Amino acid sequence: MREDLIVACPECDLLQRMVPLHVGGTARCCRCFSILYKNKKHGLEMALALIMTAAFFYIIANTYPVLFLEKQGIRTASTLAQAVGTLWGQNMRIMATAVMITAIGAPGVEITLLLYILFSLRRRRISGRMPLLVKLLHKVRPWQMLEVFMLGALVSFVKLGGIATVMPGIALWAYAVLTILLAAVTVSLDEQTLWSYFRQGTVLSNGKPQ
Amino acid sequence: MTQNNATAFELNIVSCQECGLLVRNSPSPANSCPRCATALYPRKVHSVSRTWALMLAAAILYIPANLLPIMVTTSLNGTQRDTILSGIISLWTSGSWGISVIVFIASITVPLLKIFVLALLLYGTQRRPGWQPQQLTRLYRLVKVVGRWSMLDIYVITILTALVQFPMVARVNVGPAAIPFAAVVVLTMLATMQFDPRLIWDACDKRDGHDRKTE
Repeated sequence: MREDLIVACPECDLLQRMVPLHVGGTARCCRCFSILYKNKKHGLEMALALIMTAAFFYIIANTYPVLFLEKQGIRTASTLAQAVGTLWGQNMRIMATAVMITAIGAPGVEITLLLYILFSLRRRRISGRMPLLVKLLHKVRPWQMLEVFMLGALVSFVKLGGIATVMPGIALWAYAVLTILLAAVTVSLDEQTLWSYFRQGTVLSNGKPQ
Repeated sequence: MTQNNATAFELNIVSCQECGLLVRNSPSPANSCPRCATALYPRKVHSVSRTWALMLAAAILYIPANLLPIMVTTSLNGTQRDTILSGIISLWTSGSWGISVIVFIASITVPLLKIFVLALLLYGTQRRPGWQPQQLTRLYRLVKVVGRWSMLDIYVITILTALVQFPMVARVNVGPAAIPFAAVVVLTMLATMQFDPRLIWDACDKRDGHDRKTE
C-alpha cells in the first residue's frame, strides 16, 4: 500500500486508502460520512474566474449605499462602512468592530488571499510562505459572514417598510451577487486539492522526508 | 474504501490540523507539520475543557442578551425599548410572518441549539463513551454550519441604526443587549472550533477494543 495514498478522516481519524474519483465526485469517510476530498475538473481556473468577479462586486458593494430611507422629505442612505461609523460614533465600539471584521474585513482578506494564491498557482510560482497564506485563508473563512449580512439587509428592508419609504441601493444587489459568487468559489475549490500543490500527502518521520 | 479499520492515532500517526498531512508521531512534543508549519497534536489540546468554558460563558451571556433591550427607538410617541423577542412579536403582529420566523430561528433557536448540542457532545464524550457516534458527529456538523446565522440580528440593528436617524422624528439606537448577544455568537463559534469530533470516535474505538479483549 502506497503511503501517499492514505488519508485520515478529519472528523473521526479513521485511515483510509484514497481512490481515484470521477469528475465532480466526492469521497466521504466510510465510518462518519464526512467529506474527505473532491475531484473538481478545472476547479482552480473556475475559482480564479469567480474570485476576480467577486473582487469587482466587493468594491461596488462597499462604495454604494445598501438602502435608502425616506420619511417626510428627509432622505437617508448608508453604505456598510458608514453604518459601522455610526455605531462607532454611538460608542458601540465592540459591535462596530464585530461588524467591520465579519462583513468588511474578512471577506476582503479572503478575496485578496484567494486572488494571490490562485494567480500564483496558475503561473506555477510557489513560494515558501504560500502554505502560511493558505492556512490564514482557512482561519479567516469561518468569520466571513456576507450571506448572513445579506439576509440581515433583507430583514431590515421589511422592518423599515413599516415606518417609512425604503429603497434598495446598488450595493444591496452587489451583495446578493457577491454572496452567490463566494459560495460558488467554496464549492469549486477543494481544500485538499489546494494543499496537494505544495507537497503530496506523504507520511514523514519526525518532520523530515523519508 | 478500505477494510483496514485502524485510526491514525492507533498507528501513531498524526494528521495535521490545518492541511491533513499525515506525519509519523515522534516522542518530542515540539513537532510541526513539514508542509504548513502548524504545531502537530494527535487531538486538539484541552479540547473538552476549553469547549466547556466557552460554552458555559455563552450560556451565561445568553440571559442578558435576551432580557435586556437590543434596540431603542426614540420617536414623537416616546421611547420604545425592544428585546429580541418583542421585536419578533411586533414583526409577527405587523403581518411579516415569514421574516419573523426567520429572525426567531436565527436569534433564539440557533444560539439555544448550539449551547444544547455542545453540552450534549461534551456529555456524550465524557460520560457516555461510544454512545451514538454517528448522530453526535452529525449534530457537530449541524452546529458548525448554522452557527454563523445568529449574527443576523446584529446586522439588522447596524443597518437600522445607520438609516433611522431623523432628528426630532425618529431615531434608532443600539440597546445594551447587543454586546452580550454578539458575544454569544462568537463564543459558541469558538467553542465549536475547539471541540474535536474525533474524541467521539476515540471512545468508540476504546470500547470496541475492550470488547474484543473480553470476548
